Amino acid sequence: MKLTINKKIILLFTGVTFFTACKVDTLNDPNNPSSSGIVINATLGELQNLVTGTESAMRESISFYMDDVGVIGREFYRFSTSDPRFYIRSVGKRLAQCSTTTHSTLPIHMLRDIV
Amino acid sequence: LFIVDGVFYDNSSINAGLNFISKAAGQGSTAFQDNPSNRIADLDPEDIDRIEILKGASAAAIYGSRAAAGVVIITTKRGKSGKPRIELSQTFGMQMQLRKLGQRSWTREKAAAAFGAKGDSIYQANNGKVYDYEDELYGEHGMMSTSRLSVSGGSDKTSYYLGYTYKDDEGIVLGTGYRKSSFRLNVDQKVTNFIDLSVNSNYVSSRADRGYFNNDNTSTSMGVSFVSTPAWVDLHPDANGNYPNNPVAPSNFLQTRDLITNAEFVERVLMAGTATVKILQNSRNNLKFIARGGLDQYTLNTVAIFPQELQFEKDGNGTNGASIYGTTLNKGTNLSALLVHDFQMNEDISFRTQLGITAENLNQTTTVNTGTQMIGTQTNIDQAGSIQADQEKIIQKDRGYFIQEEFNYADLVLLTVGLRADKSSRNGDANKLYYFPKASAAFNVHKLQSWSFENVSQLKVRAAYGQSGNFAPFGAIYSPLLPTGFNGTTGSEITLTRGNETLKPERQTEFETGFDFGMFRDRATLSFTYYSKKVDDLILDVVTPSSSGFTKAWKNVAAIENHGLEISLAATPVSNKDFKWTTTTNFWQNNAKVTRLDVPAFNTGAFGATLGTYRIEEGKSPTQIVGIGGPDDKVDPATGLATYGDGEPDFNLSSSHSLIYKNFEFNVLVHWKKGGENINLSTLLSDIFGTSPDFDDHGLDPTGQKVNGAYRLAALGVTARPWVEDASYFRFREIGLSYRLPSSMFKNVAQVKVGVSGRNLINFFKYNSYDPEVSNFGSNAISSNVEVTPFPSSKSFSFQHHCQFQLKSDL
Repeated sequence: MKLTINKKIILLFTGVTFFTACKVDTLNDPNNPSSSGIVINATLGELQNLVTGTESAMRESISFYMDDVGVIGREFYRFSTSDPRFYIRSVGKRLAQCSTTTHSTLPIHMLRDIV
Repeated sequence: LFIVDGVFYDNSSINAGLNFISKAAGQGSTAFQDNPSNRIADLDPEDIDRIEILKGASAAAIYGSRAAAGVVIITTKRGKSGKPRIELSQTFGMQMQLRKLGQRSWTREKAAAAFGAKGDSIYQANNGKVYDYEDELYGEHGMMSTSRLSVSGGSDKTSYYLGYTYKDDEGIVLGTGYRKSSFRLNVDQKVTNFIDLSVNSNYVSSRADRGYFNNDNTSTSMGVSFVSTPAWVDLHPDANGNYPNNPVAPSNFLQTRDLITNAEFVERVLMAGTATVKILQNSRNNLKFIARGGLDQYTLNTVAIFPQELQFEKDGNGTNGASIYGTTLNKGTNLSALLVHDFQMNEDISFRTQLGITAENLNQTTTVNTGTQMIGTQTNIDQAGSIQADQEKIIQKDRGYFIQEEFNYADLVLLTVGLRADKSSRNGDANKLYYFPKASAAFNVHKLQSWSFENVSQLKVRAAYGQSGNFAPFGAIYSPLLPTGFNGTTGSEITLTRGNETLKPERQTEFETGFDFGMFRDRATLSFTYYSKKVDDLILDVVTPSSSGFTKAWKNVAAIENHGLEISLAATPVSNKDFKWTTTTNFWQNNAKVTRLDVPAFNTGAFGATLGTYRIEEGKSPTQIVGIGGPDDKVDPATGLATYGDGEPDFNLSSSHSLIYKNFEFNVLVHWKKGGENINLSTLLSDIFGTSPDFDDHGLDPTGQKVNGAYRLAALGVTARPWVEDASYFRFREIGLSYRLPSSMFKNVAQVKVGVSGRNLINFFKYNSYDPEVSNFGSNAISSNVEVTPFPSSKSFSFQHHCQFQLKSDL
């Protein structure tokens, strides 16, 4: 008797656990809208968001850009006390050429725009 | 992966938002250097009964892909049936800076050379008076105390273990420290004659005051400010408590130390339960069903307050004060169910079959609110002129299935085969199952009937092969549209790193073989293992042509091969009535090589080739450190880079000894790490400001002309060699001596032990900083071993007493 009850319990447990455990729902990015979602059939609102985003993106790195082209163009010397590489990586120093090798942190596209 | 009593113990490192002040990740760098603490620190070591480490495929076969890199299985103490046992212990101690570097001896000429006319005039105005700022900043003797109570016991059906710990440690910098309360209750109950139940619960509450150190780009962290300030600048407050501005740097580190808050508060609950049901039991068969569940839930609050009177906040230097409040809510659950069938075919042959399913879920949300332009001395987030909010969620669901068959022939031959299937929401295809097989064989030669070597008590030869998977990092499958604002309107902007919806898990294939050898009834044992591990389809974010609109993209692009040796020697050389000596020595060594790379070789980690960086390159070690080089360096003409070292050590050796003589016990644990290089950029920063303690010493320049500081500065832009340093060390991690008082002193009711111990008291290393064990970038596998003005390590000594009462009658 004991054995039969306990078999049923096991069966129930195993069954329930198995069914709840099987499926993993494909998870959309919980933090941001996804770019694949707007590639096809974007709504007007979504397109407007992209327009604003583009306007913003063209300006948001402008200080960074000015910093770099200003230094490369020898228009000013930037004192960067705790990051001495700032000058070296932009204008080079002796063997350290301005290249992707020395320029570890600058986004590559930006570097190409500059040099 | 850490598993504590069956709970997947979350060990996330969560940033407190300090980057807003430090700008360490900025100027194009996205590597946060907040030095977040790791949540494994919440575990109370006193609760631990035993620790088991499972590696690679054998761990992943049972615990799934999150265990592919190995798993540390921690089992906490449990009660034993019997009369209540009460243990009471206290530890008092002190910690101090592990190594003092000292300071440069200054003259007027040196001050003028390093800081120009300004330096000259400050030096003269102070009549050349110098202060020992290393001692003022890092010289505190932090008091440490731990009090602990545990009660355990039980009847034949129920047993319990209850533990409480209170810990209060002060740091070596004023205002830093750690306080923790931990409560644990473990209960085991035989519910019926076929059901056993076991429940663990743990509550932890802690506060850590962490100061403000390491790399920054604003010269505001105490570490950077410290190396920027020569000893002849007076930073001390006047009689009214007003701090002067640092005349040569953007911040006064004494003011920063005294006025800022950077604290972390954790409230954490862990629960675990295991039910074992005996379904069938007879002379040949034994079928069990085991269900396990675990819950790990915590709230982490970070509070960083930078008041507006700080030099770098006031007068337009900063944001007129900042309050940064972070909240992380974390909930992890794991469930598993397995059937275990033991079948005894005859006296010699037995089988064990295991069939199981596992499920793990993680849900973590972090919000960080940054208030700036604070109203007066107010610190609440609404007392601000400007508020910025950030939120990040991490959600993960993993499911796995496994089957395993073990075969045992008279303990002579043991064979195992198994198969695991895994899927995860972190993979490109969340519902695709990936299969990982494994097999192992062991042969106990000493069990042979013809075995005739009496002194050899064990000779086991073993080999294992297995595969396991590593999921993609969270978020690598997404190409998100990030929020942005322009002209009063919000919008979406595409990220720079392209996600990859076709990412598959990294596949790790491991083969290991070795033997276990025991002599004199295993009084001396030697274990030898050689392994070869290949990780294929390595997931990296690699540079992609900018014509794609992205700068980087996630791809399965590389393979790495590891070969290594592990040797363990344990022995009891002496054992008699009065004296016993036991010892364990471990040796381990690993060599890695990139064997496949589908993209051009690239630099990663640290701060670029000028100062030394890691480089992923086919045929080379993934932790090789390269940099630019001059005529004296072996520069590869194709890349313009020379190799200066490797983060990977040549080998590690640790040895522990326990000597017991009558009532005295002496313990010692030593660790030798040979080889392995660090990138030490603390010297770079202190050289620039002329404050390096070894600035005027000779030794680095092979021609003997330049002093060390000048030599390193001259190398800037020529070679990265001076910043890549050997990080070998030999240290006494633990030394302890204890004495067990005669129990007759306590009417035989209690056993009392008193002792003293020290941690990291004796160290040998050439490395030119506080400690060769350092990492500016936290626990990243490929960018560790970099230092930028870190929080110095400490050494400590303490006094302990421990009492154990065994009650004579039941309560």
